[in-house]
Amino acid sequence: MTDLRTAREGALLEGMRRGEQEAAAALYDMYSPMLLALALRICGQQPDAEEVVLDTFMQAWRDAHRYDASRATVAGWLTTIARSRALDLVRARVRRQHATDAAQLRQVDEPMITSTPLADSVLEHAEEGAAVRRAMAQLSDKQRCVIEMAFYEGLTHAEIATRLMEPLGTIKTRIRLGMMRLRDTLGPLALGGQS
Amino acid sequence: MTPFTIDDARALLPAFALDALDPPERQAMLDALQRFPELHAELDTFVKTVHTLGTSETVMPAPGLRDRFLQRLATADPDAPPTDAAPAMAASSGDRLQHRSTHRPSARRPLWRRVAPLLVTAALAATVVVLVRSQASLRNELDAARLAYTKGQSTIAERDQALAEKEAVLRTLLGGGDALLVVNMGVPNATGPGMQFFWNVKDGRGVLHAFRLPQTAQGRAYQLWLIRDGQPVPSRVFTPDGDGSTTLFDIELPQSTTGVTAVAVTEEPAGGSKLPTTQPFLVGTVSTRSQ
Repeated sequence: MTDLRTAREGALLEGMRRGEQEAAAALYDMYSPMLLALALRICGQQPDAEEVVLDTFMQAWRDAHRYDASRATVAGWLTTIARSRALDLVRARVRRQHATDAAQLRQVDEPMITSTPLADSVLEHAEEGAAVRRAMAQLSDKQRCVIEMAFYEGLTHAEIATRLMEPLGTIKTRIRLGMMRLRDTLGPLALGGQS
Repeated sequence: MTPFTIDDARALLPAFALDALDPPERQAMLDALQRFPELHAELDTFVKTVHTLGTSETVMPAPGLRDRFLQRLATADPDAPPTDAAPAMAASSGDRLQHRSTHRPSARRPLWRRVAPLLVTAALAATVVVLVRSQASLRNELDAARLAYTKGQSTIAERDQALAEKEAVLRTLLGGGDALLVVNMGVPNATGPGMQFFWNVKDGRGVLHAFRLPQTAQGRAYQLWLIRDGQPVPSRVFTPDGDGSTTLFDIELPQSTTGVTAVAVTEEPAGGSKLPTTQPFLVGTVSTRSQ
């Protein structure tokens, strides 16, 4: 992540704290593609995903004063909000439709098509996204699978063990080793340093 | 659940960062993080790694979505307070508990946890009131004790004074030996005023014991005189106590009775006089027989 982008994000957040809607719109332009992809991955349905994106930016608008740059990047902050809302939405849907086949929900696992972004900031995100995908690709299939189930489906390791019919200890080990490898591979990108 | 050791907690940090722990494990982890703050930095690296997972793909939204966002933004109350019902804003390890509590529908805080802060506050307030009252009570007791101590000290001083007076009287009476001269004034066994005058000629000290004296008018006092060579020599001025009696001690007197023929008492101004201004109402004769 570049210093220029960090500075621009900081200025946008400051503008949002002052109630400047233009700043919120600019933040939307920067991060809506990333958040929509995440929401689609979790929700699997375009209307739900779009609603998650809108809710995420509205919450960011309301809670801009709560953002702490020392604790997370803006991207990390927004994805945390979006992921929580998307998972809540999916869980609510599951509660309403007990009979829904899990396979229907697993449609979300279908890889999303990445469109060609126009804005430079979005392009930069795309480059970072590619780095994350490469890091994920370096994991073993089993490690990647358990991490994606935890992240995109919000499952606990016990639920993953049940789903995969694997010992809980095995799942814990896969998550730990996979996450450590991801962290080491992503390095400065994950820790908010220079990419 | 058994508390985590630091190794237990470290092994589960990645899963905790992913929100993949079961509720009991999550609570144990939170406890462990309080006990082992050295784990916070490592947890932070995993939390930030998790943040990157959501950035791996991008999908351009439809233009209408931006318009919808702007519409919502335009209708939003800029002064609206942050909502607590919204998904967690957790971005690092310190926020994980709140994050999970809103993440899981069943994680509403129990009643006792919501009421506990109020009860603690009320208990603290009550304690403060009790302490303030106790302090006031203790202060009153301390003041009372100080007053009693002062009174006691005063009483002791009065008694010491009385003892000193008696000692002085005894010293005058007994120290004179055969040089003690006694002069009686007034009529013994009568109802009128009377006095006894003791003169320790050897030490030049005297004691006057008066009784049944009428109270003097305001600004007036009695004065003792020695009549020496026919002339009054002023001595002590005094007023009687409430019962009309008084004892004067350590009266300075000559160490010789030469020329002294009588002692007398007159009523004078409160400051005393150099010469009598009234007629003596008590007179006693000094003679060698008085010794």
